[in-house]
Amino acid sequence: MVLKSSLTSLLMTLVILLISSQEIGAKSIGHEEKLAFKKAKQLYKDQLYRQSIEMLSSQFQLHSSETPKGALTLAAYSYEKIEEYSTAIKIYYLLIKTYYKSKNSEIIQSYKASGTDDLPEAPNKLYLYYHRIAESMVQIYLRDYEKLSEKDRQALRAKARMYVEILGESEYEDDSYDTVTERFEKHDKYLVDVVYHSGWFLSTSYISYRNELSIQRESDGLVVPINSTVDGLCIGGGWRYENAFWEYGINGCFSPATMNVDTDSSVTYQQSGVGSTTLIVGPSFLWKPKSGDVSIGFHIPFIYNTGDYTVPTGYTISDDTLLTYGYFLETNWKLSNWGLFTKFGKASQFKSSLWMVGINLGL
Amino acid sequence: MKIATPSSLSFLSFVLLLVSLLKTPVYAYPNFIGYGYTSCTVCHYNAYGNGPLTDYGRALGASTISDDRWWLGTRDLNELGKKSGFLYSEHMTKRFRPSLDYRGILLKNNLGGEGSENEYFTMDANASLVVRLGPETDLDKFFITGTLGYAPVPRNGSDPDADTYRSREYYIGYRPTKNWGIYAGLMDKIYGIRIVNHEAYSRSITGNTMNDQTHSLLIHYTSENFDLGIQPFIGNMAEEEQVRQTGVATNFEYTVSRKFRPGFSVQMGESEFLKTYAYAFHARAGFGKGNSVMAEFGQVQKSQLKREVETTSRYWMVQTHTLLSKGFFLLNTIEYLKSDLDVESKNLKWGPGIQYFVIQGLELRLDIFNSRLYNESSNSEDSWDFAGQVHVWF
Repeated sequence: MVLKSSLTSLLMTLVILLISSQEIGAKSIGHEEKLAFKKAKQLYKDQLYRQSIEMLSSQFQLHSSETPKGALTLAAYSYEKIEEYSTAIKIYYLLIKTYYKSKNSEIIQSYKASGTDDLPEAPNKLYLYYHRIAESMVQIYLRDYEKLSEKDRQALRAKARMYVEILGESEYEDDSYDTVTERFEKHDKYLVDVVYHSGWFLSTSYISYRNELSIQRESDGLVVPINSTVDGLCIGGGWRYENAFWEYGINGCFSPATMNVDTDSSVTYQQSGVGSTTLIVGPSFLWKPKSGDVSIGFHIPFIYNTGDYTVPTGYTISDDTLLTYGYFLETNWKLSNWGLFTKFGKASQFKSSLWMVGINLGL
Repeated sequence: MKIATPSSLSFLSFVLLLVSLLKTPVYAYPNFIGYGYTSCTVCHYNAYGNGPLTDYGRALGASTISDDRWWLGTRDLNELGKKSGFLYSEHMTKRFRPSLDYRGILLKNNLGGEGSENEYFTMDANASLVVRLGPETDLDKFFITGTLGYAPVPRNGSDPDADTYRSREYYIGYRPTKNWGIYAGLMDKIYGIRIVNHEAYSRSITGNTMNDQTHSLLIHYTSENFDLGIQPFIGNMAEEEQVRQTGVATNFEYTVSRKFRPGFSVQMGESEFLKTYAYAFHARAGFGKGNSVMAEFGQVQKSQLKREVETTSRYWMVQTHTLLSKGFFLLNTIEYLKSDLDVESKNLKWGPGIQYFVIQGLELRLDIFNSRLYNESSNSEDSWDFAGQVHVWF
C-alpha cells in the first residue's frame, strides 16, 4: 500500500515536472491563460483533478488543435485520473494528429505492412502518447467489459496490443507498458475461471475407522463396549459444481469391508472377519487456494453403518446399525480427469477418526 | 511366497493408476517438485538432498520458498536471494560456505490419555562447512563438506552411553561434468523418498533413520530424463564392526514431465547378525505451484543370521503438501506398515500437519499423528500424538 502510494506520488511528480519542463506550447497565449495553466498544474499536484480540468476549460478549448500542447497534455492526464479514459484518448489522438501526424502515419503504416520489423523511430513524446492510449484502453476494457460489444472489445485489445508492440521495439524507457497485455489476458482468464461447470465422477478409496457398539448380558443387564477396527475399499462417485476458485458437490461411497471385534472386560467376545457395510454420502465445500487444481475444504458425511455380528445366546448387541453424521477435512489434487483425494475427520457415534484416501475419475 | 493383502493391493493400484494417469504432459525437500525442481543437486551439495545448501538453494529458500511478509529488510526477491548467505549476509568468500542448523521438537504423546506429558528436546544442532575446491568457473566441481554437532541419546534407550555429539555427514564430492558426480565419505543411503520425518515407517523399517548414515561411495548420474545413483557402502566406521551393514543401495528416478517423477530403489546390506533386502517404488508429482503428492510402496526382508529367522515387512506412504499461501503448507501423511506378512497385524498412521517457512532460515511445523493398530485377535485404542518443531538455519 505504502509502495503503491509512493509510486503514485513519484509518477505525479514526474508528470508535473514533465509539464513544467516544457513550454505551454508554441501558441501565443495571454496572461490569464498562463495563470490558469499554472493554477491547473497546482490543482493536479494537489490531486484535485476535476478542478484542474475546470480551470483549464475556463481558458482553453480542450478539444481544439489550437490549444497549447502543455494544456492538452495536462488535461489528458487529469481525465485519466478521474477515469474518463475515452476523453483522455481523444485528447492524446488530438495531440498526435496536431504534432506528430506524419510520423504517426509512417509508424502505423509500417506496422500494418510488416508488423514490428523495421519500424521507424519516433520522438519520445509520441511513444509516451502511445503508452497512455494503451493504458487508457486497458482501463476501459477492464471497467466496461460488460457494456462493450464484442467488436469494441476486440478493437481495444488489437489497438492496445499494436501500441505495446511498437513500444516494445522502441527505446522508450518506461517499461510499465508491458503490463497492458498481461492485464488483458489476466482479465480474459478470470472471465473463464469464474464460470461454473458441473460434472459427474467415479471414485474408489481406502477407508479406515472404528465404530462404537456394545454387548449386553441379558441375565444381569451388564453392558460392555465392543472394540472394532474396520478397513477396506469404498467405491462410489459424485457430482461437483466448480470454477477455478471454489468447488461444491455431493459425493458418496459404499464400503463392503471387514472388521475385527472384541471386548476387553469381563464379558469375553471376539470375532474376526465380520462383514461391515457402510454407506457415506454428503456435500463438500472446497476452496482452491491457488485457483488451480488443488482444493481444500469440508465434507459433511451422513453415514449408514451396519455389521453382520454373531450374537451369542443370552446377549444382545446394541448400535449394530447406525445412522449418523460427521465432519471431514477434505483435500483434492486434480490432474486432467483424474484426481487424488483424502478425507480425515470424525463421525458421531464412531469411536475413532475416519480416514479415506482414494482416486476419482471425471466422466 | 507372500500374499499381498487387500489393503496393500489397493494402495499399489492407487500408485500404478497415479503413474499411468500422469503419463501425459503436465503442467528440496523432495516435495519441492511442486515448484518444478525434480533433482536435489540444484539446491543441495548432497545429490540426494539434505545437508548443506548450495548458493542457489539458499537463494531459492529465501526468495521463493519462505514467506517474506515478516522480513524486516527488503522484500525484493533479488535482494533476498543475495542476502541468503551465512547469517543473512552476502557470501563473504568464494571458497567457504559455513552454515548452522538447529531443530528442536516439542512432543506430547498420548494426547488426552493418562500420563500424557510434554517433552521438549533438541533433535539436531550442528555446524557445517563446505570448502569449494573447484576452478573459478565452477567452484562446486570439487568440494569437501563436513557436519558436526549435538545429537540426542536415542529415545528408545538402546544406547544410554552414546555420545551426544556426532557427525552425520562428511564427504568429498567431485562433479567432473554436469551429469556425473562421485562422492565418498559418510552419508545417508540413497533409498526411497528422503522425507524429513525420520520416524516414518518408510525410513525406520528400512534402516534409514537419523543415525543410519554409512561410509560409502556414491556414483550419481543426472540428466533431464533421469537420475541414477549407485552406492556401495561399508557401514558407519564409528560403529562396532559386527553391526556394520555392508552392501549396496541404488535409486532410479525417471522424468515423465517437469512435475512428475516415478522411480524405484533397492537396498541390500549384511552384517554379522542381520541381512537386509529392501526395495521400493515411489512417485513424486507436483500440482500447480508448490503443491505436491509423494507416494512410496516398499517391502523389506530381514534375516537374523544367528537365529535363522526371516521376516518380511511391507509399507506404503502417501504425503501431500498443499500450498495455502507463500511459505505455508498443509500436510497430510498417511502411512501403512505390516511389519510381518505372516502375522495378521498392521499399523496405520495419519498425520495432518502444517509447515510454515516464516522467513528465510526459520521453519515451524506442527503435526498430529493418529496411529491405529489392526490385529486379528485384539483391538486397541487409537493413539494421538502431537509434535511441534522449530527449525532454524543460518
